[in-house]
Amino acid sequence: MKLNFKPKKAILLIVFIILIFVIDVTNFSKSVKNFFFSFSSPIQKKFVSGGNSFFDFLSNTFQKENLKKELETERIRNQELFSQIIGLKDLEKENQSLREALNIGLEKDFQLEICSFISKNISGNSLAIDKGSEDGIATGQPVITGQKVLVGRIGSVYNNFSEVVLITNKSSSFDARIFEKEIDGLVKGGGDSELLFDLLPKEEEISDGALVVTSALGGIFPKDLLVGQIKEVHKTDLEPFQTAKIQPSFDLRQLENLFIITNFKK
Amino acid sequence: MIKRLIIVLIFLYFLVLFQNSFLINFKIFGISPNLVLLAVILINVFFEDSFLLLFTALMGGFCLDAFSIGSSRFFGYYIIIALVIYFIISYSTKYFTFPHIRTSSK
Repeated sequence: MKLNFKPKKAILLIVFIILIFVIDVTNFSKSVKNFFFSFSSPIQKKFVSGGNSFFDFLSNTFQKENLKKELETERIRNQELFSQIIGLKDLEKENQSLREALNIGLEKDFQLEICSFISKNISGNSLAIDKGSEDGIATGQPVITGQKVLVGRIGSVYNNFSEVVLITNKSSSFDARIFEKEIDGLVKGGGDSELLFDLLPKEEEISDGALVVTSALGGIFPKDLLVGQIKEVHKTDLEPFQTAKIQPSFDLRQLENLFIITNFKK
Repeated sequence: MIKRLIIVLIFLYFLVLFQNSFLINFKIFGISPNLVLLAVILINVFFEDSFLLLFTALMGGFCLDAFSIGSSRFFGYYIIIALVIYFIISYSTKYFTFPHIRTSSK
């Protein structure tokens, strides 16, 4: 293979090779990335909200039939929830009076830091947010939505931005349980937008639609953060445990503002 | 010449922002397309100025590296991919010509 290399091209190539070498050897890549993200985050925020609106519009246009069915299901679920709310209101009153009787003040379970989602990594299930080490963010801190839905945890931290490793990332795994049933298991990221609930005891009956919440067992996440809903249960005689697929409760299209839990009781 | 390089640089910069922030939910058969590498391929196929082509490959890779988050890949990963694309297209255009678009080989 003969390549005709002119001096200008050779100089450009050599300059780039030296530049990459220096950036990698001196660990200067964090500063380079931090500069680019800080400089571009206002444009990226606009792009994220524009993209979300655009894809919402597209999906609404092309999925009218599905939306009708979904609306009907949601209506039924809404009615069920109303009846539950009535029950909960009574419990709330009871709880309030008990608190007053025992003189227990409401304690905050964790401290939150609000942040905005600015971009998604093309090669993996991770996001970039506009808060970094200068805002007190550290590796491993959980990231949730305003509705206490678990999104992921902080991966790499830069000065002005950080990486959020989504729970759907293949490297992610944590302890969780099925809400109100106390069935514990291990949630693993399956890549893309999939979650797998593993190590579930075989003798337990698990139904589709059951809610999955975090448990405090591993100490990675605070307990009772919503993970998702059971979508499909797999049970075979050959396997010692049963597994289930989980539909994550967060939607990337609705993630503009997120909350980082900077401090929580383990 | 410099004007062209600046236009390419601005185009690649906005393309990487568009890809990482606007098209986060966009997938073709479950795969998020890498528009920057696609642009590097198309520019390398349809343009002739060899310095511009090398510059496009290097800057396309640099933009992707600068905007990739996490520590799973070293800085320069996408530059190497873009350079490989550049060399493959440079080599193959000696054997395959694009008569209507490309008039001479590099």
